[in-house]
Amino acid sequence: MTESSHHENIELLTYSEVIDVKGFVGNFDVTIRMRPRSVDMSRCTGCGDCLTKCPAKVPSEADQGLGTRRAIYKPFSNAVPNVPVIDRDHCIYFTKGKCQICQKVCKAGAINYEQEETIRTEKFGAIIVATGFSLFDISKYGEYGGGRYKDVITGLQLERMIDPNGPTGGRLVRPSDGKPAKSVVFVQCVGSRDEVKGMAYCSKVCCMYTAKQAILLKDHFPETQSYVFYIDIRATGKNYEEFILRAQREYGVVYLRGRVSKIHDPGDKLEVYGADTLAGESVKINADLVVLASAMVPNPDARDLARMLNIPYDSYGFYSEIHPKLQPVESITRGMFIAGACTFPKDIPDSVMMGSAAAAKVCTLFAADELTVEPKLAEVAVDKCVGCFNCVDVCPYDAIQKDTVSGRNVARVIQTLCQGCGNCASTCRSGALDVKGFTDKAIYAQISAPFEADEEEENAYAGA
Amino acid sequence: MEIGYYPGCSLESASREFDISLRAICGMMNITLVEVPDWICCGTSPTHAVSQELSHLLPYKNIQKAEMHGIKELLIPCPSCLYSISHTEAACVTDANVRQRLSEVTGYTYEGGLKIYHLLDFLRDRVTLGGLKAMVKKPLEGLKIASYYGCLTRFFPAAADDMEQPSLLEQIIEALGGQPVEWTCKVDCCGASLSITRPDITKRLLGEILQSATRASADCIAVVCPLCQSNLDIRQKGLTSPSGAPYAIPVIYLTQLIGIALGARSGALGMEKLMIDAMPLLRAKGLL
Repeated sequence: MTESSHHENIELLTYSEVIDVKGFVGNFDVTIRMRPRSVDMSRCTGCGDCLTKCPAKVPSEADQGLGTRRAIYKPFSNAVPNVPVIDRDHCIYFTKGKCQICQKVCKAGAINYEQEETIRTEKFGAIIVATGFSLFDISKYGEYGGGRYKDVITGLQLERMIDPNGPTGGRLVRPSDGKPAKSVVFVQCVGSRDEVKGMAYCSKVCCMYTAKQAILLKDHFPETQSYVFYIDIRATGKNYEEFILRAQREYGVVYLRGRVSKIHDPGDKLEVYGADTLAGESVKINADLVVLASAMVPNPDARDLARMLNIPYDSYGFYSEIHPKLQPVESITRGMFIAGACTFPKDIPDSVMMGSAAAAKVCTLFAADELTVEPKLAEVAVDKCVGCFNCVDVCPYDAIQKDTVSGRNVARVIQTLCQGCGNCASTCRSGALDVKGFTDKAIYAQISAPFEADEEEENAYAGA
Repeated sequence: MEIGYYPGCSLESASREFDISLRAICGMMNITLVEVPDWICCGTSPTHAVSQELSHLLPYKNIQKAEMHGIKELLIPCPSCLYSISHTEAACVTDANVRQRLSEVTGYTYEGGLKIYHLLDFLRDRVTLGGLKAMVKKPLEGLKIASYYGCLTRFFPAAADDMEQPSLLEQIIEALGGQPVEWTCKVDCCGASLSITRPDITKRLLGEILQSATRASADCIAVVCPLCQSNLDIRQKGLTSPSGAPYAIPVIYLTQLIGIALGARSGALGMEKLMIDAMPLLRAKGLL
């Protein structure tokens, strides 16, 4: 991240969002909203004085609500760029009109409350969408006390907790009373592989990060004992299975194959009731901390973004590729590529692979002087087109535009966008649209040909 | 207000006080209970283990009897009866084969449209919490109550607002002026169905429930199921807390608590039928 922010060919736009995309491959007009940071990026030295003096405290998003941040903040300590932002919804000056402490302490004079939102539109040749994922809401699991019991947390919250720069300074504690956690129960597949309450799919990363966390806990806090309830272990990757075995053999992590049925919070230790299906017994474990491996789900606004970018998505809201095996990083819109967990849950190696593949695809696209297209494109017979524009509605690639020829409204196919699917050809009532090489006439001829041959053969037999 | 009423076998026998107290409070709330004439057994757990058809047939006969008596809305206080009858009612609406077979056998066709109430959603939707609160004469002040749903009530979406963490019973207790406690076992199984075949399991489950109620310093447990009540009430004797002290937590029907809050005499509520005497507690709290 830091490297890319210094690269001469990369412009990093933070605190900004894409609000509109028009055009097509090689010619995208992208409208970007740049939100007011309220801090002058050219002046700020990143000293951090303002961060400690701001009196407004807000639950930290990056720390998953375990810690607090100020109203002027950086999401996390090594965030790029090293310039804070003022959260205007919580800033005392913006909400009540008084304070301005950050301005007083800033030696560089970088605080600017007057900054306004700016909108800019620029041309781009290709777009890579890598918007990531969100976590399943654990409060849907009432039996685990998700969202109710303070000591029932998500894997991501544990990840923040064991970070030395995190909300607890790297100490493993119970959020309820701050006491050290000695006994930790991990519950796998919370929201994943659950067609009734959650998602039918496997989130793919939880088995491995849980093993990693259990190993880290034992490494950092040798007195901890971890238990993992799982449906089955899905360790499909280079050295993954060995890693799980290490957790079990060298780090004494107790793996229990079975589900947790309920968690009680009587006030002191959590009581975790579950099944050990290998032993055929029900088990009860007293735990200081319960870590739920909550499912990876699409971002809440994934569908809105997809509609804006004209990327198809599946029933969950994950973005769809043209072909899951052969074109995994291309979307149906030419020049628009998808990478990472916005397409489906995946771990870091897979995300890096997909990002690299998408970047390589863009390089290939840009390296050529001309764009190669498949020859089977739709074509309008202008003299037949009546200008009903039914074809515009059915085209999934936005490849048909309204045009005027000698004062008549007619359809026009943009050849760079057309993928030759034939939707328009079958919709066109006046027969004006055809896919090159697949005219209606040619297809009818192909269909009737075998039957004509039969007739000839029959006649031949009859004559014999 | 008039409402159809299906008491079921428990309320006629082992759990008479549920029936007595329900009739008493309905009288005080100007609700006329129209009992299904000549109702028969709902079939509950024994029939579906033997014959699926019979497990639909018995409830269907009861639906028939109710409809023929002009009943459009039916209150079924026993969750087991409610389960079997509403199960058949739903099957008739959604499954044409079931409906056809049952109408062939009985010669009566149920067209759908019978509204079935659990005690909890009846109180919430028909009596309303505000209406109930307005009728309270003796608020259950200072009475710490562990609200116990048991296994069946939690599975009725209408009666349990959340299957895992329901709160309707607590809301009703609050409307009565009582103090619902936070405890862990409100939707846990009481083990009633194993109380004869595997009393060891039942005792363990009961022990957990009683221990949790004690830990939450509940004065009593409020129940809405005759099986939970009798199981918790009768089998409590002989159970001890981890420290060895015998349990003596009264297990009181919600209808009895409502009756007390509405100012009914304890005699009219069948309080004397409880095995763990609730009278000393209620006297100590100044509610009698």
